[in-house]
Amino acid sequence: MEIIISSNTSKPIYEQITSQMKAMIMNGELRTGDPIPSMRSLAKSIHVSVITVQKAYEDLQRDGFIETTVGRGSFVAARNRDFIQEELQKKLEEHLSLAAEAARTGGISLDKAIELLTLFYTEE
Amino acid sequence: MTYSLEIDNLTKTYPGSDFRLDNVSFSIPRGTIMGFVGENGAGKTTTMNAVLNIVKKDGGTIKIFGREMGDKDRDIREQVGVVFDGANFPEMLTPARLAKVMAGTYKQWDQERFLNMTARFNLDTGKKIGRYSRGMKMKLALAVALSHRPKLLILDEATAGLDPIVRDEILSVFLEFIEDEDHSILMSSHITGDLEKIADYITFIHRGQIRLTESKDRLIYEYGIVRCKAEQFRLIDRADMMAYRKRDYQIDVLVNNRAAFERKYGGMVVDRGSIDEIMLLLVKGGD
Amino acid sequence: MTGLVTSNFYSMQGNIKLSLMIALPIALVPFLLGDASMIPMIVAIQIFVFASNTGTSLKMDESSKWNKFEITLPVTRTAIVSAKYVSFMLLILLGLATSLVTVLLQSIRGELSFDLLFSGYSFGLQLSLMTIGIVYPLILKLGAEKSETLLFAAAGLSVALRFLLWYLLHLSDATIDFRSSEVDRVSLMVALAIFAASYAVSVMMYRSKELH
Repeated sequence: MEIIISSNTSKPIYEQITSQMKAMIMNGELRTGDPIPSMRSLAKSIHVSVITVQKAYEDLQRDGFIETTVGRGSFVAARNRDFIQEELQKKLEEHLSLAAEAARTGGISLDKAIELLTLFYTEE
Repeated sequence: MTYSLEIDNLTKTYPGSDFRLDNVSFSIPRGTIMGFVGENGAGKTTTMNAVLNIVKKDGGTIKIFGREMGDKDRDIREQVGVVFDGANFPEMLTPARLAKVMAGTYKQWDQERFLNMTARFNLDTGKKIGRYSRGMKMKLALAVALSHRPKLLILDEATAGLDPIVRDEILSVFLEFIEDEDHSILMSSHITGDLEKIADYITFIHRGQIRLTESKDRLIYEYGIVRCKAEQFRLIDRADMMAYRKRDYQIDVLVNNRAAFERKYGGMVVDRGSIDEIMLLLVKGGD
Repeated sequence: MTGLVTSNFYSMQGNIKLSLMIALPIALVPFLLGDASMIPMIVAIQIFVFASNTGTSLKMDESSKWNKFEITLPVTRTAIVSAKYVSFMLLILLGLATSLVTVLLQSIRGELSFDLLFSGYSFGLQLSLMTIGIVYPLILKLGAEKSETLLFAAAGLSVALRFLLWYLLHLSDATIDFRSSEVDRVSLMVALAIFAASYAVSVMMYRSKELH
């Protein structure tokens, strides 16, 4: 597991932690049930204060990415497969609605839009 | 929440001096690092001295691990590690001999840990302490403080005058110490960059009074400094300002909720403040 | 407390060596000159040379700010003062041990005189106990910076007290002169009393002392 903390960005450190952890969970680098370092050991490793990591973990827990059990530490949450699906679908919907909006204002037909989407989808 | 150290309405005066600690109150939650900042003579050392019974307080209560520490409460001192600004060890001794002195004093003295720490810090335990450099003395003091397995570390300017490499090494040691959630640290420092890295909370003291205790992340991510012109300044509600400072061409205003301020007063520039800048405003500014 | 006494001795180690370098050779003086009347003075000096290290040790504790650190150790303030007085007594014992060389050399010459020895030991102990007894509370009050001056002043005062005691004894009994064993005995007892009182006073002072 790698976490890169930059002090040169306006993004708060706890957000840098949460976004990188989320990405690792979503791309499968971290799998359900995988242990993640304790707050205090992560704080030590990346040289930030405990309270900062604590906030990041609280956010991750709130969003359902990790679970913390007393005495056993934190793990990647079990329900996150469906959850990620949901997250991704939400993201897709957002982008598509933007695309639809653009198509409508540009006078591009639905068929043309579907054609374009199919092209992008099958390209890779 | 349980606290490792609770200071409540601490007052202290010295005969023949107009310095006064004025109802100083703050607490350190267990498992956290409290940074203690303020200019020279603001009362940091006096507060720490009062906590350690080195000076006698005039009033107020100080609780360490929930208990007031009197001269007889040796068991509390057994759990408190102290590093002063300067090593404070007899100069004629070598660290090896100092360890013998400590072994005869602390019940919990852990010689193996001491040897590990001195090795890690590259300290020559056979050399007289008087011939140590300042950096070496501070590292030795830290090794001693950690070798009796304390739960609370009280550090008065422990990283002052050290080069960045040594300071980074020492900060690692602090974060290692705090890995145990029963452990806490009170550290005063002029080097607010160090505190910005590792402290969980910051307490600002000015002329013997506590100006603010706040979580460091809130200070950095939620507090803000408004850069405004005189006419903009007049528009700001006094209740929304924590402190302000008039400069030649602009007025800096400290606010405790940057986002809310931006919503309420559109068009004003609000910067994220560093601990240094927030301190400057709290100390030099009016409110 | 053992830790504190150890620390005191480590701090004084250099001075103790120096004291030995002074105290040992002078044991030879009466032996080589064959002058037994010097014995009391030699023995007294040998003891006092060790006792006078107290000033240096206290000064070093203050300049290194060890004093301040000591308070944070898991010991009581009373124990800190006790450790000091134990160290003082051990210093005096070292002086006594060194003086045995003088006694030994004298016994080789076969000129051992109990009276002379008693007079020497009494004077050495009286001078040491009184000086330390007076100087330690003074240093607590005034600071260790001028410890040498204070030590000499206290030593002078101790000698003056011996004269005063002799004078008082002389008033009650005109046959008593300065070298009488009565003066030895009485001044030794007074010295012990001062040393004990000094300990009590120092403990009281230290309990309320503020260190910076």
